[in-house]
Amino acid sequence: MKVRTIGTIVVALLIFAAGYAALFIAPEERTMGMIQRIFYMHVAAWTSMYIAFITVFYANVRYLISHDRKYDALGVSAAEVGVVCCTVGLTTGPLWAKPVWGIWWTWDARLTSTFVLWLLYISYLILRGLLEDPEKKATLSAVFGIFASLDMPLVYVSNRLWRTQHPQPVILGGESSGLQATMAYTLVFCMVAICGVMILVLRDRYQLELMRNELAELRFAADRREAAGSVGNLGTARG
Amino acid sequence: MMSTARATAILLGKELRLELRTRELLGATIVFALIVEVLFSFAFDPSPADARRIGPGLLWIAFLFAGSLMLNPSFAREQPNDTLDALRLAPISSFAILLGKLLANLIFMLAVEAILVPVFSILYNVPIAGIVGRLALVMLLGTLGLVITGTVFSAISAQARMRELLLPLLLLPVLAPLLIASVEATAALFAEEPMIDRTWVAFLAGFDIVFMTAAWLLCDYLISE
Repeated sequence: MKVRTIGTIVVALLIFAAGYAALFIAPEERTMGMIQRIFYMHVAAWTSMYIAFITVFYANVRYLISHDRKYDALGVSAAEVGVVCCTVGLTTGPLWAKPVWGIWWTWDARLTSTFVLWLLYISYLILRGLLEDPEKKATLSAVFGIFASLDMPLVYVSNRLWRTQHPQPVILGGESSGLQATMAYTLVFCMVAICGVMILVLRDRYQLELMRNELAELRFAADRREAAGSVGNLGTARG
Repeated sequence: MMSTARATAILLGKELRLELRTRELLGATIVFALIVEVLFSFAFDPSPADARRIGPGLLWIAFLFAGSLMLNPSFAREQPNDTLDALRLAPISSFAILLGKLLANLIFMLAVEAILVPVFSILYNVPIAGIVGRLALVMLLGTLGLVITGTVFSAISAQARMRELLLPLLLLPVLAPLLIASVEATAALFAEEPMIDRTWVAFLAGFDIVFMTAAWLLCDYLISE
């Protein structure tokens, strides 16, 4: 519990500082103006989403190797948190695009692949809801999760070959790319802060899932004991 | 333990025999895809020029939808009599079980396409006489990808509630890259100067290899109890 309290305080401070830096310290972008500040939130959400979805893949593989239920719990928690980050990204994107590109949405490579990604992990969560047996749920959803992860690069490459309109990656994007220094620091700061929130939520969700699993097992054991007890009573009544 | 190739051949024979005796799956799927093709003309009222442009998309959407319905019974029909348990008990690898079903589904899907593509060509005035061989290659690669993922996911959805709705939900987003590649490769063949688009054909082959390998690695978890 102590880790959680300290973590929450640290992340809360980080978020306030990052918000302040993004709104007031970072310089205003020359052509886009104020609206460009959504960029710090937008990119940070994507970073967190990728970390979450890579965690899903890791958890799925580990589950299939070890059949340890804690990896199943990690998988579902990371998928849920990843979908939330993805939703944040998909919402802040159009808010930024409308004033800058003049349209809310375009079927560009990156937008389209992220949309497909969002659908893939929502399908993963729906699948989990429709499988009854806990063992089967964990195994089959892990198999689907691995297929979805393998599909991720294919979705991106196919869309890239198909069309692209999104701005080239600003960081590591080649010769003419580059962020002004203060902007870059602000961005890194925001990434760390948002990832902090993501990890905090992920940790809580993971612990909740572990408790749910434990509760389900206790219920199952209690039901069996009750059933065994009623058989025993029948025996004595007859005797 | 029987060799995987022999076990696959026997299971493939069983699947084909089952379908030949009942003939329920193929007939219904062909009619379904035909209905999609016909409804499409009401929805878009395409001229022959439009048909060249949107035809590849129409064909592949029809095949993807038809596939996501047709692949459903692949594993689900083993359930009423628990026949999958009998297959599990047999001294054969689980990959043979998956592969037997996969190849049967591939044959069914290709049969559907062999009827639907010429019908499309007649209804929408898109000549295909000169491109039969190349079109068959694109159809084979695209359909293989559809059938690999579809058969694996039908093994998953068969064990869930609402499986008829679940299979398309799992399958269609994963097939997004396959749809783009198949449509682009088919469009290059439907153009005035038909040509084979090497990039997209290679992409389709890559898709098939990636998911075939994954199916091979993960089939034990799909089939086992």
